[in-house]
Amino acid sequence: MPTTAARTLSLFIKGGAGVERLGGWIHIFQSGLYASLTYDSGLSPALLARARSLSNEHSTLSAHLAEAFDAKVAKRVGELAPIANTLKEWDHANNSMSELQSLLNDPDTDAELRSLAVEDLESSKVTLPTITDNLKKALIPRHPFADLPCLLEIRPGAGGDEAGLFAFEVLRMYIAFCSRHGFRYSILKQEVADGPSEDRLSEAVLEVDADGAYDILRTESGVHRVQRVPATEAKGRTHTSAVSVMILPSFPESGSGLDSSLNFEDPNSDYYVDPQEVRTEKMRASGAGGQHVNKTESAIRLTHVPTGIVVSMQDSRSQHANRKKAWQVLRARLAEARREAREQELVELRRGAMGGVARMGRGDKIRTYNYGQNRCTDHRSGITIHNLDGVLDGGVGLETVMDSVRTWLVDREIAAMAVEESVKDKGGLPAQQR
Amino acid sequence: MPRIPNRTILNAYQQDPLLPLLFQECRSLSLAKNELRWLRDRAVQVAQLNLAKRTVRSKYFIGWRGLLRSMCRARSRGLPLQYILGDQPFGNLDIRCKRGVLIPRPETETFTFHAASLILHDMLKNGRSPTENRATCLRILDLCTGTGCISLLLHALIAPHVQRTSILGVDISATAIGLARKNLIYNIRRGYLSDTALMDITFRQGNVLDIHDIFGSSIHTGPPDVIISNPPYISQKSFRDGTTTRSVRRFEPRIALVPPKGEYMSELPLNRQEDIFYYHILSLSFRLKTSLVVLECGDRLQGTRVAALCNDLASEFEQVGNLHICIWPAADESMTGGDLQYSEPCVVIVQRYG
Repeated sequence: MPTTAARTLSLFIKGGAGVERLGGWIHIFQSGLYASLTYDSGLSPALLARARSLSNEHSTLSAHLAEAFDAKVAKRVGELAPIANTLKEWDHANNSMSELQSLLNDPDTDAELRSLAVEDLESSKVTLPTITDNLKKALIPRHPFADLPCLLEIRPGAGGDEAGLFAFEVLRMYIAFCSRHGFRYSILKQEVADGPSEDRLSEAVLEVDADGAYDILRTESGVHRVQRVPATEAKGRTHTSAVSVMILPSFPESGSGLDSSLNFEDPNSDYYVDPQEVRTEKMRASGAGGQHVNKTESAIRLTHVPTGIVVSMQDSRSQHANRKKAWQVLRARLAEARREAREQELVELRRGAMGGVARMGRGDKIRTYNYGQNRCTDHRSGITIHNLDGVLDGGVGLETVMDSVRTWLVDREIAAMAVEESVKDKGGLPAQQR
Repeated sequence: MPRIPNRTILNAYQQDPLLPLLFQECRSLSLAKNELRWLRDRAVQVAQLNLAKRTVRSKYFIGWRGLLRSMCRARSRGLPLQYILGDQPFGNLDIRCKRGVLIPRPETETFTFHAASLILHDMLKNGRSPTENRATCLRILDLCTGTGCISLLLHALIAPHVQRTSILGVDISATAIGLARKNLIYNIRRGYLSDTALMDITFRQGNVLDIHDIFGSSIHTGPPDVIISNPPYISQKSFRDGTTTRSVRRFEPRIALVPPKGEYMSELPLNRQEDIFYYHILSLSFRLKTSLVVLECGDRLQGTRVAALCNDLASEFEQVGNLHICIWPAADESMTGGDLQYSEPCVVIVQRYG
């Protein structure tokens, strides 16, 4: 609080009389605006209350941390620090504004001081929305898988051969994206459909082995639609086909480095898979085995009995490696499914308030690649890039699209969060917003 | 063997001209494609290595395409993929393979994992007190070791949890012993085995059917706690009648598959020649009072016979009371057809308490 006032004073001493003339009417105009700013700063009281409680938690925990170190507490403090800092900044901005306001309201204030106060108020008015935005962003809970590497699953959908062909191009796009960003990747599984060419995918799993890859690529989950004249089309008609892309979290080999909530070997973890619930089958031909035959393939199929999720793996010569990869994919699918289920609960909570579906699931069409018009449109952020090759190269085009989706995701999260808080405030009663 | 329709072969040819060659052995498109991929990966790798080393003079230099073609031709003659590529993954290890030594089977891999878990659970948790097993050394005897795969994998699985292990692998073939030693060094170099393996694992030539030879070598370092074996178990009949596939019959060593005829049989209480190794190994275990014996058998019928043989020998040696004999994996009628399960290999596990 002292800084702004002091700056105003120092400006007053240095400042000339030039500003004085404007002072009078700006003051009248400004005071009206200011009133609206404090009460409609874009931060709902519910969100502010949440920020305050989290910030309080931060200060108590840091005090606790000063006495005795605890890894868990330290992690929580680290998570809360941005919220506490931004809230402090926000408070500071608000305080100085009210201080300036009181200066303006005081009839004893000097005319020149008044004009400078008005000027400062104006600059504060400009910065406050950005601080508010930052605070909102800081309040968004971190995605549970944000720090993890990921698996990228590609499956052709409707559209037959053409979908398989495009699935292969999508795979190439993400491989290019990964090498451009220096992410280490490996193809865990690549199944080609029967047909004359190699590039007709029936399923592929790409492992992106970089921490935080999940957060970067999670904008890509959903149905990608392609509109073009396929190579297989004789009469030159445009076809529409679809390819589904799934981003799954990839859990590190030994969960020891991570906190327990992500350690899949810990039975208390949300993402623990009980080996009792998984049926392992070694797919084999009938007839004798052992020394009688010399098998070169050792396919493994895992079935998670409660959910019916099936993963089969046969790409490697090593039975051991196939099993490891199959488990990795199974764990990833289960974790994603469990997270989605949890998110669904939240959506149920919000639904009444937001009206309509507030979630983009795997079944939703998210992007269209139109070859005829050489464009790529993302249906969530609404962005259209008129350079399809730039997108399919996994280059700047794709990055632009992904960035726009990320912004859209943040906006949506904030809206959802505000609604959620207001629902909570009203004690779970059906909420009506706006 | 059912004939593959021309149409399928033509279809495969359109995808890759080399696929029909692989069809001879693979009999299915997906497997043929997988094998072609593995062969191609290796061919490219070898060609690059040659190029880097420049050991091959330009005149004799073969590109990876030529290499791949000759590999596929060899495969179409029935040469096992593992002999062409020169290795076979086994657990987390990489086992070198060459003509004259049996290729490790995936079933053996599964059984070895099971044996390791048995050793770690039963022997260390129940059998002895923790202070005792710090001091003592766990001795394992691997009979008919071949490439040495069981010995090496057991060491990789057990050594981190036990103070000291000592594993002895025995095989009658000098080629096999040479290859097993090579495998030991190869896997240590690649970091799949710890350095202590060089001290802990020994391979020795010996005849399992000669009781004096094997008895002498097994008590050389002290009586073993565990005997594990994947002996030859194919009968003369099923070697000939098509149960054993062409590739195995022609290219893998008969000595590692079919127990020998002759003088060994005459004085034994056995009517089946293919069970001869089990008789010798089990009687050895009774003399040494081994606490765990794990024996791979060709099918469930043989497993049952071996379990019965074990009971007979137990009464002969008067050690009935503290024995526990079982066949693993346990027969599970509900899961798949009984027929399929009966033809699958299994292990007979003999545990001795007290």
